[in-house]
Amino acid sequence: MKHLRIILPAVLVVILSCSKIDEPKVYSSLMSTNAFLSRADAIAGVNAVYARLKAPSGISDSWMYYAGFQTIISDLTTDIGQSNGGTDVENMTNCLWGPSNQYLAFSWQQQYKLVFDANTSIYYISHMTSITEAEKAQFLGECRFLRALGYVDLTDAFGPVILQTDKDIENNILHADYEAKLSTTPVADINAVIIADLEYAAANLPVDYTSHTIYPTTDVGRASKGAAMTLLMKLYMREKEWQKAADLSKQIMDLNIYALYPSYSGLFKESNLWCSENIFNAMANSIVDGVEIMNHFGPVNNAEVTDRWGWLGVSWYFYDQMEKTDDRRKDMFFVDYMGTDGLKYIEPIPGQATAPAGSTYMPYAYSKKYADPTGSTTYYDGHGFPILRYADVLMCRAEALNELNGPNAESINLINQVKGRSHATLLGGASGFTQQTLRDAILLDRGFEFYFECKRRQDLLRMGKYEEVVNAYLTAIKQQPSITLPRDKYFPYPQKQVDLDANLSNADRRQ
Amino acid sequence: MKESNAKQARLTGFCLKSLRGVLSLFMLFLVASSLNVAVASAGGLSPKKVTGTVTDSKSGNVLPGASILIKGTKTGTNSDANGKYSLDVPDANAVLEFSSLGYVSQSVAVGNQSVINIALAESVATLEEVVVVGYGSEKKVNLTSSISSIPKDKLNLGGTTANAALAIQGRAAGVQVSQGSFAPGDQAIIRVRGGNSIKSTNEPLYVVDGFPSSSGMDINPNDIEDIQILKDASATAIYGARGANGVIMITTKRGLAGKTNVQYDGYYGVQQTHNPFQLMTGLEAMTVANAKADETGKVHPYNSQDLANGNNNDWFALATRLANVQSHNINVSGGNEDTRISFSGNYFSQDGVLKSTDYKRYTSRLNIDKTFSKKFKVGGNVYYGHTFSDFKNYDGSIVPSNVMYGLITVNPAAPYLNSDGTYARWKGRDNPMAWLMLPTNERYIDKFSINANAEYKILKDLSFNVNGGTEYQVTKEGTYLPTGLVSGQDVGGRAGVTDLTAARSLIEGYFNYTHEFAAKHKINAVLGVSSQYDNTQRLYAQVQKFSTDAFKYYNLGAASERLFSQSSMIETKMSSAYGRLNYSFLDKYMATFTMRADASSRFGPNYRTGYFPSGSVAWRILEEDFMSGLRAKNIMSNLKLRASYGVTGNDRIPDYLYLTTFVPTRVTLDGNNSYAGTTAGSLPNPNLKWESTAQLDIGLDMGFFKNRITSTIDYYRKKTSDLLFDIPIGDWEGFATQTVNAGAIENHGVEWSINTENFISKNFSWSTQLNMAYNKQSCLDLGGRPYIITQIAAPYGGRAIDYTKVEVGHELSEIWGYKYLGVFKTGDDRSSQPGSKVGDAHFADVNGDGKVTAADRTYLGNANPHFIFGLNNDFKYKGFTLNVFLQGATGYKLFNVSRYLLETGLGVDALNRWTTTNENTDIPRDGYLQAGYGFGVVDKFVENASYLRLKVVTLSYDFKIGSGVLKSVKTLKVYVTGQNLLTLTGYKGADPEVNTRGGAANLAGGEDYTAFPAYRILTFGVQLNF
Repeated sequence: MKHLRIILPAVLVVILSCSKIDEPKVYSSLMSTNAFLSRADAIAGVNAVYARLKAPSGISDSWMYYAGFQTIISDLTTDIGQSNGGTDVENMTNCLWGPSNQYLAFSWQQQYKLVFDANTSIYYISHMTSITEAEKAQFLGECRFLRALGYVDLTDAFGPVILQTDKDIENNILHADYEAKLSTTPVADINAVIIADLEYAAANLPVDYTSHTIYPTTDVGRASKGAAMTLLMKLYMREKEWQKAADLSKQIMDLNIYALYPSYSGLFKESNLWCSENIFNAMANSIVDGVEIMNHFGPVNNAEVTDRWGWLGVSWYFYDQMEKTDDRRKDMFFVDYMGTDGLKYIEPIPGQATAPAGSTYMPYAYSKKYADPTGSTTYYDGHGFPILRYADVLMCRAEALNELNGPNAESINLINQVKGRSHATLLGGASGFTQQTLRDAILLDRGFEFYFECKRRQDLLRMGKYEEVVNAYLTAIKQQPSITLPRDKYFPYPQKQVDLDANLSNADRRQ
Repeated sequence: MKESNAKQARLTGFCLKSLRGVLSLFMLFLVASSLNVAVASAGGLSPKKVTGTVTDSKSGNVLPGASILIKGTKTGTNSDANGKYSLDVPDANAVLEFSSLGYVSQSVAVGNQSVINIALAESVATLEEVVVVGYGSEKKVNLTSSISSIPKDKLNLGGTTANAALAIQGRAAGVQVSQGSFAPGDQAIIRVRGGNSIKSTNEPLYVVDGFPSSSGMDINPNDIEDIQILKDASATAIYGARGANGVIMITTKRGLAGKTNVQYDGYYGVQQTHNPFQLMTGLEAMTVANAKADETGKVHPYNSQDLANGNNNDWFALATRLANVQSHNINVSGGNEDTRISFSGNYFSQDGVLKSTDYKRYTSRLNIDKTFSKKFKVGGNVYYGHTFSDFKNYDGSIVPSNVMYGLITVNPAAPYLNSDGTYARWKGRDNPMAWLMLPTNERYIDKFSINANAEYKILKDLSFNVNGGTEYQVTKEGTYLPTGLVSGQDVGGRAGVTDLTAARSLIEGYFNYTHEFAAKHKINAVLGVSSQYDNTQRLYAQVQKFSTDAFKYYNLGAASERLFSQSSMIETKMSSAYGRLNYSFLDKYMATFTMRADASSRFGPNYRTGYFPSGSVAWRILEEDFMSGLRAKNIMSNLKLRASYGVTGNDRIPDYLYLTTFVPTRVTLDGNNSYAGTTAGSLPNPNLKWESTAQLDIGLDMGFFKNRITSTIDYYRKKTSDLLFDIPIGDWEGFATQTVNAGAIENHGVEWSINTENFISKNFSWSTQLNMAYNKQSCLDLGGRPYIITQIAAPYGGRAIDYTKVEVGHELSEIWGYKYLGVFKTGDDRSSQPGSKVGDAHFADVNGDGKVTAADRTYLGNANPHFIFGLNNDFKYKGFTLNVFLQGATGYKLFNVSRYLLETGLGVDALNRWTTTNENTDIPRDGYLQAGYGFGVVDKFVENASYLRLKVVTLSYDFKIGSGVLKSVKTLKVYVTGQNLLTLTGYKGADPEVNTRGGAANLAGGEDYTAFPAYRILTFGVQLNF
């Protein structure tokens, strides 16, 4: 029986200690109970929202949204951008998209990801008590700017969408129902949210981050007062609230901190991280959060910019419309180069279907805008992506004034500031234009100035030229001219989202 | 006689606090018992000596190592190498018990005999067999549940059978084992009665000597004594929340009382592959590529210099080799009635048929059993295994590190080596041999497990058992991308190290009560508790830019750029209580009730604890009076009807899924510096709970002619509900999917096995074992979703393509895509595919709307076999044994991506593509993607993969022993084994078992893309006992 002395106490210990069922301990993640406690936690919550501008990962290997894919939505669907890299992207280029096109799904997903992360941080930060009111206003201002950007992009592409705010974060905590069928909100109502967010941001954000009142470093990538005003101006432009847009543009100019950068090619150097022309950028660094912008835009078999894929380029149709002496063409493209494969890469010769011996036709013109020959040589690169820049403010003001007053000297002057920087032929006096011809001139020059900056589709729609310009282009490249308005004002909702919520109806959209 | 204590799982319930104390206690016992081995002896003075020889009643061969025990005492001996024994008995009243493993025991009264020669009959009958059932064991005759038993002599061993899963392939009805990849050291996939789950794993639970192991299949197959596969709910319910996928109970070899036995098992084999693909010559490939460019108005990809370079490399031949495989195993065992010990050591080494892929494994095991008194006994197991593999990537993508992709897509005209011996580049790219030979990819796994068990008899009928232990596994992966490769050169060399440490501690205790009332009612009851704690830590670092390639991944500090340094720690806790009651009346009517409650830290507070009950009944019909006729004439020897029903669970999902979590990210906000961020990692779901499987099983066990024929038939139907899976949710919720409990899957099927002794005589015998199983799966509910589409990487790269679709009424992993009608010929109506040219692929307009769109995709076949079978025949003639084992599966299809790539690339089929002068073909001019149609799976490459395989053929010879040079040898067997010698299949790919996505992809099975090449193995082996 001596062993009983060992066994019985063991039994007792076991039975006693088993009465409690253990909670797991979480080591490598934060929880709602400890993620937003301190000021530093709040800043981390804000920073993470910026990471969503470059999708998917936020760590490295980003290519979606403002790491390049946004151009597929807004440049490839016009006369500017082309790709020969896969069925779905070619369908975007050739205006053959349908609800199942994956680039629509990517766009929708990443824009909502930005909105969701902004909502999450807004919800938690607004409930914090450990930070000052000034800090809270700063943090919420940044998050609300980013949420507004997400909704501007969502409504540009899809029109009425499902509106989610920080209130919905709270609802999920209380009673999660991820399968609820939600309705879409009219664009006008979403605009109201955007305007409220941007007015809050403009009122609470500093013009720049040089004063170091809240952040110890000069964080040029953060949303500023000017950024909020510019995005609001862009919204008013979209809604043709010309006077409000013109007023805002004046206020932005009167901030007296923005100016055109002296050279167009210098503006887009990878090393030019930030300059007086930048109002809001998606910043990137090849080590910290490298992007694949250069992989997608860089030329193939090029000795100068090596190992890139030539996936996205400017159509020859559009390239040929640019003046040969315009810096924006002259300095900004890889054309006529000797490839590493021994072939000369040239623009197709009209009427000659096959390239002459020793040469090969390029499918489109590879731009240097995001493939700086002096930039990264690594797989991931650090090209920042300009989301808002000062040239756009000048051009928008020129356009708004023309819409309000017809051709006028100030508009001509503003446009010529932008053209002049690139040594393009300047516009003559206002008397040589009608309101329509000046609008056309603005549209054309906006194309030259902002190709691959996610502006073209919005410009064409705003100016009522989407159907005409894109169908002419499609005819020229021997594709079916299929743009029809109002059907194509918005893209169809992604099919997999429609499958989840039938309130997203594509009945009057492309099928 | 099977060592019953070796077969008992001694699991007992204890919580963590007492773990350390109890464990150290058992360690002490272990040490004590090993010391005692040498001291043990079996003698005693007595007036009478009995001698004799023990033989096999069938063959007449002597039986060494048989146990001879004086009944009612612990005194006894063992027969020697010549089957002879000598034993002193106290008096003429003594009764001797003769027993030997695998033979029917006999008792003989000594009387006035001084020489007792005994012939033991082989126990053909499985009725005496004892089966491990989890927290105890049971005589097979009394089982009420469905369990497949595989003894060691029926395992597939030898050659490249590197793990326990492959050792049972084809051997048990309803247990599908497939080798997703043939790469050395790669894991096998096991499905017991089909897959139940979408998100969670469908792999069974492994329990090794009573210890639930996270990597049970990896043990040295030579250590296995036998394997039980618990299949129905009645059998698995004792493992509750982890039982739904079946339980594989592995019992390792234990020491037997008697003379020390030393066994050496060794073999040496060669593996031979052949190129399953027929490729064009380099010149042909370049000519075709140029011709395609001509047709589309593009420039020639190959210039005249390329065309004249004269290279025609057979990349497959360069990359493969005749590869060695060898194994050396030594087992030393022995002991007396008090103390038994078994020690084994194994070295296994397999070179891959693909160069630069190797696997080595070193293991050792020590099993000790010590009986301290009639009341108290202790057992302990110590295992250490070290494996090394030089691995490659076979993930079915187009990245160049996926060497198999390179081998079938890189032009034979590309140069192989430069004049200085370095690997040549062509058009700025490395050739596949550079990618095979230059990178470093090494994986080390160290696994250490120690567990101990004790049984204490509190009363005659009541015992208390304790089982506890720890399993500790470290997996270390080191990779280096050297500067000899273009991509390595770009980054100055890149090194990565992953370190994964998984520790599991378990303590269990249970009471076992056995009692017989009035010689009619037998009761066996088990009641216990269990507590398990798992801790998993991962460390990952990646750096680049080295000044030299010399450091590889051994000195990360030598790199000048740090890319990643990540770590994580996860813990999982489980507390359980369980009970089982067996009742038997007159050994004729039997019933079992089992209940387990599991609480797991993986689930939300609302449903943390799950309850898993089961019940089963059995009726031994043959014991009824009305069957006495059949019984008396020896026509039938067993007839038992079984029925069981129960619920088991599945908890194997990632931890913390029910919580709201926040994870770190980083971003630059000035273009130079990194800014830390915190972002939402998951959405809350406090209602997350167990996935549960309810299973009905009805079985019939039969034996005929003194069990010369035995057969078992089982029908089962199981329904898994509250499926844990990631349902798609609207992107506006912030995530694309959310893990919830929703939906249901049903599997039903029939299993049949039959074992026959076809012929028995002194010199020749022939026996057959056949098993076959049919399983049909059906999805009942997808949580209200109409369907789930699963994507895979596109064959040509780029973004993923839709691959399978599951809807209500369908199976998981049904391949989904376009039906191909042939090429458009001149004059064909092409209006359904506007923009198509003559020679383009023509797809079926399935929905008849006049155009080919994504809506025309349809189901093309299921990836999981409906029917699996194994057939084994043993022929014995004198010392020779011929074993022929066939195995197969039917009723499934594979997506042959390799053929897809070859037909549109370098395969000889591409020579027969459509051209203006070759209109009469079904091969399109330039693949299946022209004009934007057919992006995805094309039915032409979804092939019937049914196969019948000559899995193992072994010819062995047992030498007559005991004389001459073999005097000290007990048994000596030499054998030659061929594996995978012949496969009958219509499948055109490399091998019909392949599954690129592995076992984890429940929704995306059946893809054959860049798999490790299949091979045949010829092995020569020797088994020596002395």
